[in-house]
Formats: sequence, C-alpha cells, structure tokens
Amino acid sequence: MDTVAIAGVAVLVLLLLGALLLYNGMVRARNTVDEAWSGVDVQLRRRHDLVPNLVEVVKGYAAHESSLLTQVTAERDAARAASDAQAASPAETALAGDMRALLALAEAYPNLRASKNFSELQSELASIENNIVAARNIYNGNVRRYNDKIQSIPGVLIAGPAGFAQRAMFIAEESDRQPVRATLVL
Amino acid sequence: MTPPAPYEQFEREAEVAARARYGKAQVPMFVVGGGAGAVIGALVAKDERVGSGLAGAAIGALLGIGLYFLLVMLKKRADAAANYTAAWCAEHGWQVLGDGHEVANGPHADSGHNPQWRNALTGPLEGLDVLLYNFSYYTTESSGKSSHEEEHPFRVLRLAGPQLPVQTLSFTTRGMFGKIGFADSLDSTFTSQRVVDLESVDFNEKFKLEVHDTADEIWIRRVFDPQTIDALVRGDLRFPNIHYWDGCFWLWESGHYEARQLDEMLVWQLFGAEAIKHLARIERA
Repeated sequence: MDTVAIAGVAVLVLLLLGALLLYNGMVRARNTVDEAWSGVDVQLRRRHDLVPNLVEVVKGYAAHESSLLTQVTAERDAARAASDAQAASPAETALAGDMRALLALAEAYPNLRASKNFSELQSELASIENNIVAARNIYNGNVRRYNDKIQSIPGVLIAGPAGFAQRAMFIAEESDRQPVRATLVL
Repeated sequence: MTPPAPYEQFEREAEVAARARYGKAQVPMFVVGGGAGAVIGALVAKDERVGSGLAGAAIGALLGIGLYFLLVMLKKRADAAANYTAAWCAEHGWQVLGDGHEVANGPHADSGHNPQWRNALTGPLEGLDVLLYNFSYYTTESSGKSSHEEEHPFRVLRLAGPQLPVQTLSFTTRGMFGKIGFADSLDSTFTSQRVVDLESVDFNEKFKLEVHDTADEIWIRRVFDPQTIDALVRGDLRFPNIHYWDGCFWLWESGHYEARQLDEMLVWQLFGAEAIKHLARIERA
C-alpha cells in the first residue's frame, strides 16, 4: 500500500471517528431535551390536576360563572392531550390565562376570597407556576443548545440523514409571563 | 458596640506609638551609623582617609536614619494589623487564635512541605461556627542547577453548622472551557467523587457539581430542584466555590488575607453562609 492510500485510510478513519462523536453528542443533547421536557410535563400535570378542585371551589361561590368554568375544564382537557412543546404552548397559555381569570373572581366574590380551600389552591397554583417557569427555562435552554448543535457545521451534515429534527421551544405568551398573585386571606 | 475606626486610623495611632517607642534611638542610630561609616570609609580607602571617612560617615548616618524609619514602619504595620484585628473581633464577638493554629484536614494541608497556619480567627456568623485563617505550603522549584522555595499562599474559610447527608460535596464554577466530558469521566473514575449531570445543559456547562460516590441521588435532586438550577444559571442566585467534607464547609482562595480586608472576608463568609442555607435546605425567614 502506498503512502497516499495509507493517508487516505487514516483520514477516513478520523472522519468516521469524528462523525461518531458528533452523532453521540447529538443523541445526548436530544436526550437532555426529552429529560427536561419530562420535568416541564410533571409540573404541567400538577397544574392540570389542580383544575377540577379549583373549578369545584369556585362553583360553590360563583355558580354564575359557569361559562368560564366550562371553558377552563375544556382547556384543561385540550392541554392534557398535547404531547409535545409545540402543541402544549398555545393550550397551556390559554389554560393559564383562564385560571388566572378564575382566581381574579375572588375580587368580585368576597365569600370565595375568604374560603380557606380557595386560598390554599391559590398558593399551590403560585408554587406550581414558579416550578413551571423554572422547568420551562431549563427545557428551552436545552432545546437552544440542541438546535444549535444540529443546525451548525459540522452537525448539520449528519443531523438530517440521521433523523435529528429541530425541537420547538415551550413558548410563554405575554399573559403567561405574569406571575400568579397569591393573596393572603386573613 | 461601636464599629472599629477605619484601618488608616489604626495605622496613624500605631505610627505615633512606634515613633514614641523608637524616638530615643533616632539620634544614637544617626551618630552610631555615622561613626561606623566614617571608620569603615577610612579603613577601606587608605589613600584618602579624610574624604573617604566623611563620605562613609554620611552614608552611615543615612543608613542609621533609614534603619530607624524601617523599624518604625515595621512596628507600625504589625501593631496596626494586630490592633485592628482585635477591635474587629471585639465588634463581631470573635476571637483571635493567631499563628500556628493547625488545621490538619484543611484544603492543601497535605500538599508540599513546611505547612504554615497564620492569622486564625474564629467566631459565629449566621448560626455557623467560622474559622478564617491564612495557609501556606512550599514546594522546591528547580531550574537548571539552581532551586528555590516557592510559597503557595491561601486564605481559607471553614464554616461548621448544618450537616449534609453526604460524605463530600463540591460545587465550583467551571473555567472558560466549560464542561469537558472526558475530564469529568476521569474524575469520576479515579476518585471517590462523581460529577453529577443535572437536567440543564447550561448548568452542567457552567458549574461542576461533585458528590461522594455513595450520595443519594434523590437528595441531590431535592437540593438542586428546577428553581435552584434555573436561578443559578440565570445568575439570580450565586454560590461561591464551596466544598463539604468532614462535616464542615470549606472555601478558599489564592493569597493571604490582610487585616484591612476583614470586612471583605465577612462578605465572603456571608456569601458562603447563603449557599449553605440552600445546600442544607434551611428555610429562610
């Protein structure tokens, strides 16, 4: 074998090794995205689980608000059905907005505001919302790094053929960015 | 209790005291230095005894005065540091342990040779028992035929209080190269500590979290929950480089602290105490 052939084989081996490392790096990055999404998902499910309780409590004091209550329940079902960040973003934004509207009802219904159950649900929701924000930031950070990896050279050369698709961020609409107010009921 | 006066005031007072102490020696040192210089000058240059003697006397007198000022300066520096440290400790309810307070399990205590512990202070802070000290070890550096002793100075903080349910833990900010997976793997393989990868890539790139091999994974996840991870990554929460072993938290930086930096050391301690509250999950009021 002449020198050129040996050099060619060496270059080929190095390229294969590089591609292998790159591929493994992308797999790891994709797994961290999935891991972070499961963290978001846990918090979203906690929020979903809170909806029936919140609806029940509000119904006891503000039965006139049935349309809002029905809407929140429907949005909760839609949000539960979302399987990934892209589908979950609008559904969760709508749900969060209407849950905030439910909490705001306390301003109009003093008995609701004075309810111990309501105030407990309110503070639990505030805690869940904080966890969602943190989990979402972590998820979006991982997605950004993963997308950077598969869209930039040399990752882009093997991302397509190897089936690494771009991931969507979990976007918060403007209303979702506002913190939930946990009112202290005395 | 009144806070201690500025360090500069202690320096001024120490200078006055030092001048008072060595003031009587000023003229004798001038005269003795001049006389000695004249004799040496005359002996050294035999041909020009008078001229050389005068020159020697002048140089000797100057050296005598220089020696006086050196003595005053050294005394002033030592007294100002000691007095300020004593006043600072009195204000904070601390105690001066001084030099030679050996901390055998401290950072770098096994490194090099001739370990030296200096300027140890101890006292309470935020419910913790604090020990602050300067530490140096020495190594012999050789270049060609010559060799010299190289000092490696550190200031060390030991904070004792809450116990963690792990044997060892280490939280450090990574350097400019970020995470190097291979180096982390080597660390985990050849030491009794393992590098923990949390769910945030940004966190893992920015920080290195190491725990003892036997550490409980659930405890780690409970301490480093999503809110803590996010706050650390965003910089809303800051931890110093902090280590835990033998039931104590340890912080150290390169270089000795000086008495005039005691308030800066207090900030450093508070920084460490805040991190400990998070690590030990102590609820803040």
